[in-house]
Amino acid sequence: MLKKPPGKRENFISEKIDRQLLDFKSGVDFVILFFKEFSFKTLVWSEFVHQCYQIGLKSLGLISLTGFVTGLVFTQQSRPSLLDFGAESWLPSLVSIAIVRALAALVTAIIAAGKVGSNIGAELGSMRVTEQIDAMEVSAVRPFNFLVITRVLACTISIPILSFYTAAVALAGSFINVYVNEQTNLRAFLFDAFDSITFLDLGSSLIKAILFGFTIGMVSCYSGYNASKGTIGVGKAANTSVVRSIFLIFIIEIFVVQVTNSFR
Amino acid sequence: MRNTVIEIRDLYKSFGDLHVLKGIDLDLYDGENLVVLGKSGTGKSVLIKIICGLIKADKGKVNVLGYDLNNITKAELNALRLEVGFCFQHSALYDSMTIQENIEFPLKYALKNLSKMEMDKKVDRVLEAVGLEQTKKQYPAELSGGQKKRIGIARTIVVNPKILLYDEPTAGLDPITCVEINDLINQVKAEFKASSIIITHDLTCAKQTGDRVSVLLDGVFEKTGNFAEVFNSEASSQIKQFHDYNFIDNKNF
Ligand SMILES: Nc1ncnc2c1ncn2[C@@H]1O[C@H](COP(=O)(O)OP(=O)(O)OP(=O)(O)O)[C@@H](O)[C@H]1O
Ligand SMILES: [Mg+2]
Repeated sequence: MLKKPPGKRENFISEKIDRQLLDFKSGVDFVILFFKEFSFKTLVWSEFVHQCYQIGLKSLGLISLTGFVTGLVFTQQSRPSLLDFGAESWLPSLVSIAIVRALAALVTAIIAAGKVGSNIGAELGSMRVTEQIDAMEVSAVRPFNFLVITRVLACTISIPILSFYTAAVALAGSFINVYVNEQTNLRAFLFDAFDSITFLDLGSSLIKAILFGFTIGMVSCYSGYNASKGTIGVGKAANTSVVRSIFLIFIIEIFVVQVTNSFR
Repeated sequence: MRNTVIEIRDLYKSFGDLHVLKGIDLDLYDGENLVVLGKSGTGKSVLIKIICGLIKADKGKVNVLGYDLNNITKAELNALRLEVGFCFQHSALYDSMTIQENIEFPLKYALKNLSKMEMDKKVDRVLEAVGLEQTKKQYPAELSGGQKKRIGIARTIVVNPKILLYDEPTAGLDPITCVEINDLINQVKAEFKASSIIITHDLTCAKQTGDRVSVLLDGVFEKTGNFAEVFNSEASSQIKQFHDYNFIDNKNF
């Protein structure tokens, strides 16, 4: 977990790639440590609830706006292509499939990576460089349990909930657009929308959102917790949290889509 | 013969090619204040971080309150850490918590099973000891450097540790506040009956708080004794230099 001392070791490939590999390995160790240390008995519930509030509730405004606009605009932009086939009555089902299968979880995760990831990275990073993490350790409180486990768990739980919320808001945006243009009533809209969604869609989205949440929590805690000395380290921790989270989110998205499609 | 609470023999620590500690011997007796003096970068902070298990030694025996730090389980280390308080050089208060929550932190999450009333009582007692009762609801960012140091000390003594490790308690403070902190260290010693190691490069602090003084030079203790013994006329040129630069206007302090 801690940095290797600058010994005169032979490079395995090149210095830069070696550093990346070592970083990757310590990241994997960090995840393993999480599963080793995790237990509901030692979970600091008060901090966990506080983090759920920080992560979930505080992102609500931004997520509402983004979700709503996504649904509205996506509907608007899809209309002309369907109109070409005279199939604008398919709009609700097309939009709901896109939202539930892909957009809701993805949009939520990317927003959360930006907002929550940078927050956790910077917070833990500054706690590391100002020795607050050491202070916890010497006062016989295990900082990994107190800071990392609570945050990762809060992300893993909050982000799926936020994703479903995003889906609901996006559908609302879509409905408003459809209502204004085609005068479809709410019942008909919901019927069309939900008719085309399967349990596989919901299940795979849930799993995806859980993986996204876990990844964002893990990546940003790792970056912050291992920030190197100095204020530059704090900025770097916030930055790497976001960049690596988003990168991994897309990898997971591709992976889950492949697996889900093999069940269809 | 007094009890030894910390016993260190032939301690070595390097960071890569940088050899910081090169054979340290140290005894801390029950109820005394030991001052460790040394230039910046000589490894004073590293030494006390080894004592509280934040850094692992490369070689040598480190015995704290009967625990051998080279063979210690996680549970034992946690138990030991409740007995060893550490006051950080830059206070290391938790930014996101109020002063009250800062001081409550070890009570709530390390000692656990204390009632709200017992916690409040303990918090009030240490805040009174450091003279900052009025800051309870404030955040660390609203306090001055000297006040933060005091709160750092309060947070450490709230669990009644047997050993206190002060990392440069007076660094970066004005002379008057320095004297106040020195008085506080002595008061804590009297009131809480702890043994302390005080790291500093401030000779006034050493003189006021130290029962014994050790000088760390080049990774080893050059000299140990009371203040007068260490800085007597036969002191080595490096120790003399240390003394003279500290009291540059008053060489016959
Ligand atoms: N975690 C670490 N990794 C690498 N080198 C370190 C580490 N901690 C300390 N050092 C090095 O060890 C040396 C001693 O550091 P230390 O912080 O103990 O000095 P100090 O005596 O406390 O100085 P000051 O009075 O300035 O606080 C320094 O050269 C520092 O660079
Ligand atoms: Mg230091």
